[in-house]
Amino acid sequence: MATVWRSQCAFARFFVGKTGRILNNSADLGTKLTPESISVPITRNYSSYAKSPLVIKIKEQYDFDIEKNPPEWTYVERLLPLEIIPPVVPKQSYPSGWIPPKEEAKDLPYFMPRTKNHELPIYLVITHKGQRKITALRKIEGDIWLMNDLVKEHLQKNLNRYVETRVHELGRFIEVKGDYVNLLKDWAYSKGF
Amino acid sequence: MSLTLINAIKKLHISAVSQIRLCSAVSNSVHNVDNDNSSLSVIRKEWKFPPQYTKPREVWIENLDTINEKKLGLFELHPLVYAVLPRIDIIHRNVIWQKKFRWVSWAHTKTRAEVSGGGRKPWPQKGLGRARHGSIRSPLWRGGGIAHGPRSGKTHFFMLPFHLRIHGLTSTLSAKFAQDDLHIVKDLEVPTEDPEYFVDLIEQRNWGPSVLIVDDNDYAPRNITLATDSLQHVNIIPFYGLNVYSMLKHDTLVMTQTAAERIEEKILQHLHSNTMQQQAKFKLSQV
Amino acid sequence: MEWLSSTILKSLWRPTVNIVRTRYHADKTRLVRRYGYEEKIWSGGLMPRSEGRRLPMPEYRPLNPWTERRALFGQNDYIDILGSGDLHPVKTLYTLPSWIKGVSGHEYHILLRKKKMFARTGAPVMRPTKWKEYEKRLSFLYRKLNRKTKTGPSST
Repeated sequence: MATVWRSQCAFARFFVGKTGRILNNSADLGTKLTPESISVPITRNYSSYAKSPLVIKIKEQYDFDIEKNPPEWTYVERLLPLEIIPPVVPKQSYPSGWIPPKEEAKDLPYFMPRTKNHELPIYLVITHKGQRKITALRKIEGDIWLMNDLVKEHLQKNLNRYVETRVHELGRFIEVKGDYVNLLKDWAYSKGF
Repeated sequence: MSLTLINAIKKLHISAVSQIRLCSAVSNSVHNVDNDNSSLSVIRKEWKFPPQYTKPREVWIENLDTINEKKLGLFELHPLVYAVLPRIDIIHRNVIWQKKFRWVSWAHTKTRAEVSGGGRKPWPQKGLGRARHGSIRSPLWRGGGIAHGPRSGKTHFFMLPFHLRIHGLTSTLSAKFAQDDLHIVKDLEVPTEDPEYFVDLIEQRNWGPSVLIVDDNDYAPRNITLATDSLQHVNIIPFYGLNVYSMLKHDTLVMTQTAAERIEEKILQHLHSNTMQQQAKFKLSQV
Repeated sequence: MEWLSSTILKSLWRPTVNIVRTRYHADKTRLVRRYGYEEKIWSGGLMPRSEGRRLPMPEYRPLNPWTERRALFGQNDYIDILGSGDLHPVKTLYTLPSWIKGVSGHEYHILLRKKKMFARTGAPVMRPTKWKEYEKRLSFLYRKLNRKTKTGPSST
């Protein structure tokens, strides 16, 4: 009950204003208040579907004319947020170091498409508080087992030791034990992905 | 050595399967073209996001205006939507989400504080040889309050991540398509409003028994709505009402050509745009 | 003489002997305890019964899985993906009251939100008992959660 009493007090003080906030007056004020003395505006609950009003056209606040001017509209379009991530514009060289995918990669029996941000889907997954590092090759299409063998072979040649991998055929990804993101990215670029 | 051998076997197997498939496809198409090659329309689509590696899936456009199936043309479906590998676990998570996010349990019990009465001590603490009790509404008493009972308004709400829901849709569509349970029709024009016609059609084409018809707008043609009105297991929904649960509940999915295109377009749009806003954690203030 | 008379008597008079067994213990009337009392508690076995006979099994009524509500369950759940993008699936939960739509949390959270939303309506005046119960339950849960239980994973 104490909480209720306090909240009523606060409510009353809010209404009365500065004089009510004086210590001597305020304590007295709280006890005298009854729920009836506070008029709470009863609003309708429009978030209920059944009681919500039908859609009506809101009265226009400002007068305006609609005119069509395609040359100027291009400047407006530049300010609008992009609907899709824009496709890559082919260039001779990319100063950022980004490497474009090659067409001949599509003739291979396996394939790894770029992500929607035009990057390779090769990631480092760190779990167990940094104790386990796994390189994940995602979005693989085609013969995933052949690609797994080639990845293993490539890593073995470069590192001179056996590297454990795990293939999820249905999920279309290969997980390589250890942090070999850059090595595998270079391999993927060399294949043309 | 053994690895290479296994690989060789795998390659052999894969190539053999693909050859068989190719052969069967060729024989099918030839057969149909012989029947009525004049009215067959083959549509090669110009994609906004062309498929890169996996080939687009071809599907027959069927008709609804005769009981016997007539193939009106060929149509291409995008592999990112209709030919992904179906992840059963993701489909399951989607169904669980659909059941749970709307589920509110209204079971309610009163506690000892809410059952009326029970303010007085029933009998003195000592001297009567009876057990000590302080209230007749204690949980030990008959007619007393319930301790730890269900309290009304228990929700099971959570939002499944945006891309998991997209993956659920594509997985289910692909599974339906791979199992030959997805049919594309040109439009939903039916000659009569007789439900018998639709029952015969479903029987003849080996659909169903339950059929989910997906249209591209809110108003389906008059005849098909009247024909399916009395058939409880044949339902029509607009393309934006499509969901994993309904697709699994109904045996066959029948889509109009435009509906299939609109679904494909919407999903491809999300797969190729920045979805940070949709991926953000669900906040109650956003709805 | 005596011997003679007795032998004659024996040969002439031969009465039929009927041996009667007295079954004292078997025939004695017993005390019937609680005579006229009918046992109210059924001790004739399991299963629900009426007057000693088993009740018939209720008729199996399979529910219709294709009523409109069940057939169209889940419609518009993906409307934010397939629709125009300005409608969230939580907005389509028309059957739920607004104070619980899309809310997750335990009893205290939900009751707090319910009370907060009802405070601006006529509920405190129209249903004072309910309102009192909300406040009572909230204060109980507040004390329970903040003063009597530990939060987070246990230290052990």
